[in-house]
Amino acid sequence: MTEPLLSVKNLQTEFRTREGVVKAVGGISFDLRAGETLGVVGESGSGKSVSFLSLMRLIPEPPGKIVGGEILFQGRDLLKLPPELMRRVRGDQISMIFQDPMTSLNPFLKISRQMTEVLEEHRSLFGEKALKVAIQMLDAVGIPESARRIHDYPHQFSGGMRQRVMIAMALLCQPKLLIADEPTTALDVTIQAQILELLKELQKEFQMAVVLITHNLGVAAQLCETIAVMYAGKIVEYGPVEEIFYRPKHPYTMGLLRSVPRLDEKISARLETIQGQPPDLLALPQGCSYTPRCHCAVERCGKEYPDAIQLDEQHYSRCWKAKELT
Amino acid sequence: MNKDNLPPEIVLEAGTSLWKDAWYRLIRNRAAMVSGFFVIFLMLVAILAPWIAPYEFDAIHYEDIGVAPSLNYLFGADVLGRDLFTRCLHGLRISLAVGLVATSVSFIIGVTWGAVAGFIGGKVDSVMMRIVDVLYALPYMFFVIILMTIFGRNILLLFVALGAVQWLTMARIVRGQVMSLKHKEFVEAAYSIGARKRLIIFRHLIPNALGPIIVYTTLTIPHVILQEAFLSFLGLGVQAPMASLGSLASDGAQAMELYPWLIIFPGTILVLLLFAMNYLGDGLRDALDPRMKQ
Repeated sequence: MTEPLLSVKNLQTEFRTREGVVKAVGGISFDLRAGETLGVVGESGSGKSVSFLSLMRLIPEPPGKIVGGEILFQGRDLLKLPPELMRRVRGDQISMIFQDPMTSLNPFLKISRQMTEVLEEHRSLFGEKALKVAIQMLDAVGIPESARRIHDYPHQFSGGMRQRVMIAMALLCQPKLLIADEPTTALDVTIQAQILELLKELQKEFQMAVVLITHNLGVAAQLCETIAVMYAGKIVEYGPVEEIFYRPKHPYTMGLLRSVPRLDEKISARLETIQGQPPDLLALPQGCSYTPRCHCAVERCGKEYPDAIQLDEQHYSRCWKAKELT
Repeated sequence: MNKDNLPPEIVLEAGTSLWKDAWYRLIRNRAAMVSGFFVIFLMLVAILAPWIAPYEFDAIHYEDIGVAPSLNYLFGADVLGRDLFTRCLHGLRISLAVGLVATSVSFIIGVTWGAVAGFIGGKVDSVMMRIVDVLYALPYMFFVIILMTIFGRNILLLFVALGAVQWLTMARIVRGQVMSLKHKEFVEAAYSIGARKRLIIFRHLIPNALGPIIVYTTLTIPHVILQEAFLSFLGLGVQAPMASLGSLASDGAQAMELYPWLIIFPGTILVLLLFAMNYLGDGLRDALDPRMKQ
């Protein structure tokens, strides 16, 4: 095994609000090797986006604060980098794609300007040279007539096309790591499939590691090799995609999977839901935060939070009963 | 993609810049173009006033007091027998200069102040905006009178005084815009590609706030011209025998029962100028917004 590209260790991010301290990310750890795809799933507010915004050091401070942990990227701790060096990492080594392509492009600037901006910043490419690289990248993401379209404004593109432009922008410097924060949520289903297919191809072509943040299990299953399930700011289960989908070892993952319609099962009357509400991050219960909603909680669950229990070579679960669950 | 050996088949198509695009859109806007030419015409006339004007602006012709408009006196003559046409040209000069200089002062200070306050936010923003509030609360006339009495009556000082008061609203407008824009996703996206703060302010935030800024600027020019007229009326602005459109109108108002042309001509020029400025401003705002159709 080679050295992982990215190694996050016990990352913790908090938001200090008037009501108290919100522990948005409560200590997550994982490794990501070059070229690997990690899917991060979880419901809204589970800390998916905040974790990776922390990784990019894009958390607004204040009120946010990364209170602990290490983010080793190619051996360097990103949390210790001075802001100027961190700025150079963003968009160059690590890129990010956002959820809503309609609002992620500056409506006042042409695509060409927004794309060449990246190249000027990180590659010192200017004028025609930069434009050529940008056009080539638009070709790569499947924008027809790219040489002409690059001079258009964002509003002249459809939603799916804009997301392609966003992806092209993110890939301009050929990052080692691409973080896609719900890249398909704002798109309709047919376009979603196209974008995912595109991401898959590009990942192979450029040999980059991809982190796909999503609340759509189907999307994660389609693209990812490894899945991390997040709940209340913690990774509760982590493992290869087949393991997670066919042999889940955490009651929350099981609940999530049961709440998704499946084609290979008979149509039952109603989909199951996970009872109760996600926990209040201002006042996390002692012990496992899933306890109040868990159908198989035991006394111990309300008192102590288990460390990751290794079930398989790559499969971890943070549940006391992980080994008993089927 | 290696930056050194690009495949040769890529043919670049010429793009147009934002400003070129804006220019094309502006040309198609007839009202704005007419207004634009009118404003330019007035500016040229104002600049060339000393050469165009048939008389000296303070030349008194006792034999022609209150003469109606004629070939000798195109706009008639005033109560002292001075040629109104000449005085209107010189007045236009002063008014335009006041309008432009004071508006530029307010534009530069206001936009910078507002953008910085809105962008940094937090305590810096609080302090900066409280300063604006305090200046707002200060009676404007009082402020100008103090300036005048301390530094003496000076046309330059008039510019500064007017500009120094006008930037407050601009700062508030820009701050509000920047505050709402800085949380937009494209700004976050700009951070995520590693853009510098300076770039984010000047390339991403200010252009997006340009619409309201331009509209307010074009409203400020006429406003400043009117303010100057008001100050001149109180005897704090332009001193006789110099004239501005405002002071001419106020002089004319006193004599309009006998010599109506004394108010009609400067008044008309003033009104046309203000109209043209407003149409031009509207046109510019539309032209600079790439989302506008055409």
